[in-house]
Amino acid sequence: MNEFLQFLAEPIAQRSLWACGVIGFSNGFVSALVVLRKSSLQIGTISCALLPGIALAILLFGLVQLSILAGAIIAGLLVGLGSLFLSRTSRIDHDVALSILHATAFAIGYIILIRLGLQQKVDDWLFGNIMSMGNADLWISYAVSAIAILSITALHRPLLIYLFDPRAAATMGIPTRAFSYGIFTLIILVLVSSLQAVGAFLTLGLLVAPAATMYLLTDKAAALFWGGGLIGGLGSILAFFLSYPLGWHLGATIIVMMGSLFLLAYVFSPKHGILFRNRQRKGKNKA
Amino acid sequence: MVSEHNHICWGGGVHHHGGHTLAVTALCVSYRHVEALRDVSFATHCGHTLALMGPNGAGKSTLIHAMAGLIRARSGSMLWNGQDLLQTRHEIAFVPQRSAVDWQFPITVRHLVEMGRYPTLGLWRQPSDHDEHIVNKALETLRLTELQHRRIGELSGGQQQRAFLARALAQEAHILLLDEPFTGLDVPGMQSLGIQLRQLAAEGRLIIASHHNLDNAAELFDQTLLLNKTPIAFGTTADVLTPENVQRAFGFRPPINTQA
Repeated sequence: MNEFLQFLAEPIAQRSLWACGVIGFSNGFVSALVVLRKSSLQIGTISCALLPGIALAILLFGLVQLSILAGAIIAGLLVGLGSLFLSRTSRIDHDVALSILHATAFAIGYIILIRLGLQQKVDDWLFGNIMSMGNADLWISYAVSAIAILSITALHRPLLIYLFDPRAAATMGIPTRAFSYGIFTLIILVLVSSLQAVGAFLTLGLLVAPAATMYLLTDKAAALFWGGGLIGGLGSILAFFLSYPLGWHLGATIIVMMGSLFLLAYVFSPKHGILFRNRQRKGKNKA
Repeated sequence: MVSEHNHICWGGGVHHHGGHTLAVTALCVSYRHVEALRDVSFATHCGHTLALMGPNGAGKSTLIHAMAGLIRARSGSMLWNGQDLLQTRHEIAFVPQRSAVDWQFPITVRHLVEMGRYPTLGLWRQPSDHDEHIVNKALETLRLTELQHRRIGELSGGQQQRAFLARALAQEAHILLLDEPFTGLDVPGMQSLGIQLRQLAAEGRLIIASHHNLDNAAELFDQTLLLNKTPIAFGTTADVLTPENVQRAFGFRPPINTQA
């Protein structure tokens, strides 16, 4: 315990704790977009497709924060939009195109990273390493979080109309195409900023589970955002405190925490949990 | 309190001098290179319930979408009181087809209806008493007050359709464009929606809906535009749905007893 307190006093520990809270919150907040758009599988594949962008950026510019970020965004957009293009210009379905592109992109990225002798880094990109985040990384993820939360909050009215009923949104003068690209870009930005924390494989958990958990708890769309943010932020902080004494990998602990919270809601949610729903059904049958 | 600047037809006893006219002239719409509508012209005015009828692929939904501004026409004009229809967007409300809606979406009936106030409220302005009043009245008109805190997925088909109509009312729109509103409703749901639409029209709105059921069109709509890519007949439903016209549109003769 004493050892843990000593560890907490270290700047690196405090920085990680902050990072957990902020990244967890912003991912949880944005996860509402992913859940409401029902695009979680797409996001999962795109997150892995970021790898070649990162690898190429390192190859071309060395380990420079901003170029890595740019490379990841470009790779994400290329795979995302490329799969749309493939599906529109052939008889291949969007999901199929996305699967192929993301696997190929991932493989290319892996080859480049290994060739560059960045074996250790590969693990960090895949599974995350909050401790390795430098100040610049943290500032980038704070800035991205702020952008995401502010823009979603400012636009929440038209955003919800668009997410629920894009056609009616268009008739109300909401620029639906801009919203569609904007949401995609925002998700990729958040994805990239959390990539170092939880890694490409695990990021899906943080970018889907929080709002999915809220989805089982509430009928209010707005609550998915703030509730998702709280679950993501507090859950990540809790995972931080658990991972040290248990000696577990921090990124993986965060994702296990998210999965556990989701399962808890699935079973115990007063409105939509299976326990209560079954009881409701029985009650109805009696009546 | 009802503000002066808003043109509210319903309940306000507003008199229309000659009515507000929607005039569609020589409208052509294509998807990429496939022609969907050719040379569609008709004119109607508020107070009517107009059915767009024709076989599958005749362009009913396309015409609804074109009037709603969701697809751009290749040529032709749509004028509402002499002004470009798409420049008077606040006058239009669109009600999507029920199969196009995600019924699992976490949203209550009231919140859905409140969405109709967005064009007036914008991003930040808090809903005033006036806005609340309009939402309450819309819920009341469509008999949804009791159900306002239910999630939309928990409603019956007819109630769901009414919830979307209530949003259209909250938009204070003059023209209501509905995509296949009667599809999937049971007979009581259909009848009550039919009465509702007629009432909304009587209060001074123009109701335009795509519809495919020849048997009940006369009961539900007073005007019909029969089309198959290009218009075949337009006028009162009884005049339009003659066996000859139906055969021209659908390619088959309707059974004799269409009154059922």
